[in-house]
Amino acid sequence: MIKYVFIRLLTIIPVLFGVMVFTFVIFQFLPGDPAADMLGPLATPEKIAEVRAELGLDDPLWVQFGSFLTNAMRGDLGTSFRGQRPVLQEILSRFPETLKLTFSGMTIAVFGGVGAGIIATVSKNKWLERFMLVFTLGGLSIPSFWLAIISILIFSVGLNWFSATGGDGWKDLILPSFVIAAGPAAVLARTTRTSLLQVTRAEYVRTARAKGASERRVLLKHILSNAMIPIVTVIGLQIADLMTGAVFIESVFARSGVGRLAITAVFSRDYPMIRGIVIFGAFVYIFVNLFIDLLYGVLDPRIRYE
Amino acid sequence: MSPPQSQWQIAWRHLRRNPLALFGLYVLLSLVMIALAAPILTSIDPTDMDYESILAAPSHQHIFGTDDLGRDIFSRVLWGGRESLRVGLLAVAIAVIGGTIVGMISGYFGGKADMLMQRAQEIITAIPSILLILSILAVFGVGLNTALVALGIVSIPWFSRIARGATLAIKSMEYISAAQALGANHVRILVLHVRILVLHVLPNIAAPLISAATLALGYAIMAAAGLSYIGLGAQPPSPEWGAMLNAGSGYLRDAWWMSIFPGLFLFFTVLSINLLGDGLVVALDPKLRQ
Repeated sequence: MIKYVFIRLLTIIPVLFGVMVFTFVIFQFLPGDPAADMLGPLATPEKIAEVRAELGLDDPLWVQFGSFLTNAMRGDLGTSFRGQRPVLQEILSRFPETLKLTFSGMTIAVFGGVGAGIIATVSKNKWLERFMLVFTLGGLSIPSFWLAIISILIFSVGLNWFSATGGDGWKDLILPSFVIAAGPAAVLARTTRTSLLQVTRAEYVRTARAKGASERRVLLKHILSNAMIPIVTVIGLQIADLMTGAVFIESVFARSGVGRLAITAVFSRDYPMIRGIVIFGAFVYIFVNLFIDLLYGVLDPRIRYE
Repeated sequence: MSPPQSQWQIAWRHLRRNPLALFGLYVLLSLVMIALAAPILTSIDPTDMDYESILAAPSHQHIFGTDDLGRDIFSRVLWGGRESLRVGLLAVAIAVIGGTIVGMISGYFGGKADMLMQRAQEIITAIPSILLILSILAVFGVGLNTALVALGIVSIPWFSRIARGATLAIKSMEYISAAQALGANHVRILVLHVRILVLHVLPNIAAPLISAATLALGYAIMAAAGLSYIGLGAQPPSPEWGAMLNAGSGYLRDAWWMSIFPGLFLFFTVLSINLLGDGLVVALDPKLRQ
């Protein structure tokens, strides 16, 4: 197992390096002068030249990339234009807000989605299954930001149960959590169904039944435990998505997470901030995926030996 | 005995027996027709401001009501449909064309070209797509056209993976080897490779690409509307559904119709595309058809 972990860790190094190259290169396409952008329209040419030298913008590209990389490795992703604060510090101060929403939403999605998937498949009721398929397709097709608007119209404006936006209490988390859970729950319900159907046809399930194992035991021990791998994958991918991309929901409900920080940064042309968020997001994404991979090794010993 | 059928005829027969997919197809066709017939269905200009009726509730005169600038929402929703379809189709076209070329080259030639392209895509897919789109918008400027190009680019790996896999699967087949064996001349090798790719490989990988493209269309339309909603896509006064919802979110208490109608059209467009796409995935895959 230790060897497996070590090998997997080694494989992400080139990807991380690639992400750094990519983010460095794409921001080279920026029109204009970063130093002038940073100082604003009132800056004198001398001041701009001074800042350019300070930022190393006159150095050859590979030197700039080198310092960009070594700085990043020390946790220095630059200083934001807007707040003049270290980018990483700003991102980390917003991250808990995004995590809160991710985990409350995913809890709802896992229980709702996997539960619905199991019930619809195990019941063998054609109508229930059809209903679930249509319902989940609706969940996948409804734009999350519109679902958020509708839920505010119904529960805040109409019924007055929740305040529409803002607020930091647990009550303010309910509406966004349910809205953000809709898509992942739909994906999970479908994955659960497909996975269960595949495993149900497996030979070891027939063997278990032939041995005379009880239906309950077959379901829990033989079917569910084997059907878990694709489900865990999808849960992991959805968590990674929400942690890095709750952009729309955070925007509708005016929650100050990383997603909204990214949007503000695009509007205010705060390039160090955008670049920092992209790097941060990619790191989170890569490490969540790595964690899922390692989890496979635990769930399915066969994978470790490949 | 029935005459032999092409794979497309078989696929269509399967699709015809799938009520959900057919429903999706008909709804989608009607929505496309409504969008194309916008100038016939409404005589009101989508950007016309009527200061006499600002935030008017749905009525005979304005069946979907008017917005904060007195513009007719029915007319804006119809014209907005064209905008969404245009954005979705162009974004998917970029993704399919880019992905197919990259994937076919990768799969057909293998070796270093394949390795390089695979690594590049690994890096692209390691960055969450919404952040990738945001950084492209930040660098190249906010707007619906940049947004659609960004959406297309981030979906390229999806198609190149399909195209590469499918190309690898048929590369080893005999008719490809036979076609290769026919060309000995060095100069003609390249021409031959292109001919093989276009004439033999492409038709055989079209089916999985079509079903994936349908599902990608739904995603692109939804994502483009989302970007417009947060202000990074369509700019005023463009009648785009996401931008309309953005305008409506300021009037949730006073004018629900501003937030309901554009969203309903967006939802049904994406839903119908997904229903059709789900049906196509099964109808176009010989393994799933059984």
